Amino acid sequence: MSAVDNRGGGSPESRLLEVEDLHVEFRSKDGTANVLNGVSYHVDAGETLAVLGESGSGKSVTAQTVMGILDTPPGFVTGGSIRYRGEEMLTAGEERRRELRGENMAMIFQDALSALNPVFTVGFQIAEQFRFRRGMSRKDAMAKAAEMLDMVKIPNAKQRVKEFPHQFSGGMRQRVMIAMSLALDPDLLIADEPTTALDVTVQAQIMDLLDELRRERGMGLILITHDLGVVAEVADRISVMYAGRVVEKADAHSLYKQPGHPYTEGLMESIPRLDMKGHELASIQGLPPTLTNIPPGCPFHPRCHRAEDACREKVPEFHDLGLGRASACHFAEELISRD
Amino acid sequence: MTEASAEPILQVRDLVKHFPVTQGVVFKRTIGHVRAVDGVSFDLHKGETLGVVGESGCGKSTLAQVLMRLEQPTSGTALFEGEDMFAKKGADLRRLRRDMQIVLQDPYTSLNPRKTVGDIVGEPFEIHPEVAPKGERQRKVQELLDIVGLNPEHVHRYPHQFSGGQRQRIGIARALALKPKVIVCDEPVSALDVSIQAQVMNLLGELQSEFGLSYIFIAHDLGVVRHLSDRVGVMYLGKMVETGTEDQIYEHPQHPYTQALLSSVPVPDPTLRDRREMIRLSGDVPSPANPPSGCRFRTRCWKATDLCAEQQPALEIRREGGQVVGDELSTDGNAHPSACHFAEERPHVVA
Ligand SMILES: Nc1ncnc2c1ncn2[C@@H]1O[C@H](COP(=O)(O)OP(=O)(O)OP(=O)(O)O)[C@@H](O)[C@H]1O
Ligand SMILES: Nc1ncnc2c1ncn2[C@@H]1O[C@H](COP(=O)(O)OP(=O)(O)OP(=O)(O)O)[C@@H](O)[C@H]1O
Ligand code: SF4
Ligand SMILES: [Mg+2]
Ligand SMILES: [Mg+2]
Repeated sequence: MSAVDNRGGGSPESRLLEVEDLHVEFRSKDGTANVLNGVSYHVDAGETLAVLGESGSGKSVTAQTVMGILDTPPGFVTGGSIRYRGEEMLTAGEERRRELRGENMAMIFQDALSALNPVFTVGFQIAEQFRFRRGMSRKDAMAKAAEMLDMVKIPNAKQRVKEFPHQFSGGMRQRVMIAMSLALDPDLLIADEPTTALDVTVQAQIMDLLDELRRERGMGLILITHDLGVVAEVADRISVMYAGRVVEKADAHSLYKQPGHPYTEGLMESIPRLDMKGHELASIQGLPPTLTNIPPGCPFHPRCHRAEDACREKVPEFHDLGLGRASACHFAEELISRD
Repeated sequence: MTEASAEPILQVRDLVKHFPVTQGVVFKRTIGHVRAVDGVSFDLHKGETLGVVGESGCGKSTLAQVLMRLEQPTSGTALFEGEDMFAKKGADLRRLRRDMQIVLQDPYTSLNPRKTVGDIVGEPFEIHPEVAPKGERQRKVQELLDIVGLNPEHVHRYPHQFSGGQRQRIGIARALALKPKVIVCDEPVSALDVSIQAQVMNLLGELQSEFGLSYIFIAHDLGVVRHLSDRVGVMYLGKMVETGTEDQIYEHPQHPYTQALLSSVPVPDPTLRDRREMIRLSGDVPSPANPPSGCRFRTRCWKATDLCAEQQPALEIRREGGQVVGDELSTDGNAHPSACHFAEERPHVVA
């Protein structure tokens, strides 16, 4: 729990997770869907990496593969590497993965209600982990569960451990999920759309809480979201995904100031902003590709207003732009040097 | 958006919809009421968009359902072009049903999966054959598809062959079929990705100017509502707590709830990080079956006093020390109704 203020510095000790060129496909009767086509990102201790992208871009599948909970079949990892503190995960045995899950890396899901078991009390579900993974007595585990609820700022925690999930509001259930995922003190937390189902006033509370816990514990946080507003408020760095690839990465300030990929640029111009009364929103024309039939060249070219012949023919490499930035667009240099 | 004309197309007064809460299996007893909509008033002018915002469960969809006459109101009145909407029967009701249409949130479930797009969009013509005689229907449907930016040749396809944004366009085409005057949009873009959402919002804007439509636009996304609305009503627990022009609500909010809501919305600009004013509400929205006495927001309000528990604040232009709130410094008049005993203007909560 040291490197609290290491924001993407990337010394070997602080590098928590490195995903490199990850390929995953889903096989079915109808063919093969190329769901991940070379995803790379990393996260360091104490920092927040936002993974941004629209529905179906592969954000959750990447997270599931990192956690070792990918549905296999139909999902298959066909290439790449996932290293947790330097240790290769893709070749690690199931026992080792299970050991790491909870203790070292944990995940919270969008739908907090369905992730909780309705027939057990909230306290029991948190306490389970202390009993089975830490060998605590029933009583001690329950006391610890109450402590956890208190940590996520649920008032009256000692009483509320005895209640069932349906007795909690949506925001409270998400707090319970956070408490549960942090029970064994992991140093990497993946939050998959943790506030999408919540109202904005509650979303703001939950984001504040996650940010505070990350800071206090020096945790690495991967925040998966499609909300460019949330990202702007909490992310240190951002990876933008499109059709199973990371198409751009940058620190938050640079990305919003000058996107280095036409897709990112299009996303930013599509949002009706609260702080501006706009006229016509610039939308991105067309739809994302079907993953069983990804277009040749740059997968974004059919929707891209800058596309030229090269884009239809040659897959743009995800190339370095300096200062921690990279983009998979042939014209990235031009894009980021505009003023 | 077009100039508002003198007489509102829709005048809603003290609209109430309570749902009974029952207990028992054989002998159902009513043990209380969910006060989903509890005294809502507003005007809608021709060619304008009234945005309705508020958190989950505050009664937005119920309001839409009652206005569409899909639910009976418990009490209250609504005049459509000066005539009592809720008293209409027979041919008058059919006429009303032509003039008011609804677009729903979920593009995945609001379309019948076993019908072709042609059937779905042309369905209103079955009920109102006077609008399009049988021989003309196919052409009419194709015209509608073209208007909403879908390929007219796709009339024989089924909903599952379209994307979410395209399905939302199908819903809009269906709503347009009878040339309505008012369209109630209940979260029409909430289920869509931002790039697609922008396409649909632009379409709604274009159709409005082309056909002079009036919209009631319901959404929980305050950015979306600002973008499309001329006027905005903010709902909390079945009541409107503040109404005004888009500028009055977003730049000069007076009600603490509106202020908290606006301040909670993340703005996509990292340079504003830690520089925006933060108002964080504690706790959750109370149950509409048992709303707090007096001001319904008081259990989460940082300004609440005993008065708030005792007296329900009316939605009206508030005065403070003899002065109209919102009017003192402005020449263009920022005064607008808000339902708070201690209403006071608080600019810059947005950015
Ligand atoms: N179990 C599965 N079987 C088959 N296909 C799957 C499965 N899980 C995911 N996919 C497919 O993989 C693709 C990527 O899905 P993923 O859930 O990672 O998207 P996402 O970026 O998380 O989107 P969202 O924002 O909607 O959550 C989608 O096309 C999806 O249909
Ligand atoms: N048919 C019904 N019977 C009983 N209660 C109902 C019924 N329909 C709605 N309610 C209740 O009325 C209240 C208002 O619901 P409504 O659907 O209008 O909210 P909303 O503002 O549209 O919320 P959301 O943003 O989640 O769509 C809720 O407490 C809801 O549970
Ligand atoms: S590579 Fe070409 S098609 Fe792809 S994003 Fe860049 S300009 Fe557009
Ligand atoms: Mg997902
Ligand atoms: Mg609703």
